[in-house]
Amino acid sequence: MRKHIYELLMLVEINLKVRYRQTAVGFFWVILNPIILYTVQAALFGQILHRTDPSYYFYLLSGLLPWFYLSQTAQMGCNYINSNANLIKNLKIHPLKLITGLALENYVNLICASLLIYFYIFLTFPSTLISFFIYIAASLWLLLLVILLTFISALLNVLFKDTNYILHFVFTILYFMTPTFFYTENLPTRFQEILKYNPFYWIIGLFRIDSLSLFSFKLLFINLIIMLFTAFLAGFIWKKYKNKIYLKL
Amino acid sequence: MLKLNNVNLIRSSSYYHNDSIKNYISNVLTSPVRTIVSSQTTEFFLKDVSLQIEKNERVAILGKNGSGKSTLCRLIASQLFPASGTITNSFDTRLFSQIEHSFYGELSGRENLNYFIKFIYNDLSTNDQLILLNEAVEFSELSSAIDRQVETYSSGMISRLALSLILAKKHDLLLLDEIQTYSDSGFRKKVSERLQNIIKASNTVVIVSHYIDEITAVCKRGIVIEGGKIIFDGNIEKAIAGYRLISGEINA
Repeated sequence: MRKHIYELLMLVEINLKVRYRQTAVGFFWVILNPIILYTVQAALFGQILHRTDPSYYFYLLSGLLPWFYLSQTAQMGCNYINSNANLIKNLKIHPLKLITGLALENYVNLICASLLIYFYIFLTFPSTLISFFIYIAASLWLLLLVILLTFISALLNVLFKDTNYILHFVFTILYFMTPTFFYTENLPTRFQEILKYNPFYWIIGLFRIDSLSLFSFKLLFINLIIMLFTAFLAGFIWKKYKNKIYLKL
Repeated sequence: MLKLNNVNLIRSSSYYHNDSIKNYISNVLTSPVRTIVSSQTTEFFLKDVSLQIEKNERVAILGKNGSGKSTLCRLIASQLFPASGTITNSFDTRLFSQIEHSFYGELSGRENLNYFIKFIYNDLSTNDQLILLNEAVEFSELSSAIDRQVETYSSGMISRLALSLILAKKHDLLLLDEIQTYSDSGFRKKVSERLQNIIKASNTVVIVSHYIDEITAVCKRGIVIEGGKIIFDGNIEKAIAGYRLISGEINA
């Protein structure tokens, strides 16, 4: 166990170094990237939706940043097993460990960016600290889900070469079907019902337990089902296609 | 001891087909029965492979490109799993295969060596890992370039980096899959000497290489593979003659 944690931390360290060296302002750019996206969208959607009240900024934070984290990690990780095939072969690294390293690295970025934005909101419009603790707890749950989803997308990408393309297409559609920047109650009832078939609707809902009073056993139960199903699917694909995946690497 | 008993490694006919989701969906829509129900034919990567390698043996695996040499190495290293047959391996096995393609281009040569040593030789203390790192840096003869990003290296320099890493420490069962690419003749001589020292120090070694001189200097036993089957297993001189015959170097 100690060896696995040590290797995982080393992978995160390598990823952080590799990523920051590729950018002119290094670490700050990786943190700035979601903050800039958040600021632009907050300004834009705030005006379009006529929502400039403090609660909207937190609503956006609790929807947009987890969404970026989820979609970016799943898409970044899609080709990760393929592009690191030689590492897997020579260093005996399990593909899941490699994916976990990537998800953890992006998680560090998510938390840093979230802290900065939350700090700004907290100073400008005093809000409750409890909402941020819920945010952190929900983000840990999301981390687990992101690891599994990214693992699935990476495995599928070894088996099917166009997975990345399809994934990008699916995430683009789901972005507009997930209440990251809009309020579901503003939509017609029929659309509200349709959105409930999107699993990410429930996952993002976890981040808003406090702000939207969505705390319910139904929300937690559905999230548990989503997690179990994702874990089952990841396990099934790995077990059934392990040899084929290794052969293709 | 390493023992492979009637090992088969197969791929289904869908291995090269249905490799895109769009194709798969299209096939399901146009001919659903044939895509889903029809039985798939199988081809062999490795067929009825049986061999036994004892401690302290040095074995060369010879064969044309695509004959199954690397696949056999990966099977021994537990990276692939047989469809049938049994593998018994009591060795602590380490495979090196195209390691020069594993390095992180954005990191320096020294950083790469440092991380790879920590991964590969994780049973060593931090101090011993540092000694190994310094030895590998010195052996690579990359001098000041060692602190440059690997993406600025030539193929030869990357090869030097890889070889200095591989030859840093002895192993229980060392599998070397065509490691001598791109190195210049001067460095190759140095590598050959070091390689022989590491091989002498390591318990058991299996080498896949097209460099006959290198093989004859080290191995007494040769295994020739053709089309996934072992067609010869025995004396290295006879194995090389057989390999030259099937590869067309000499006429029957």
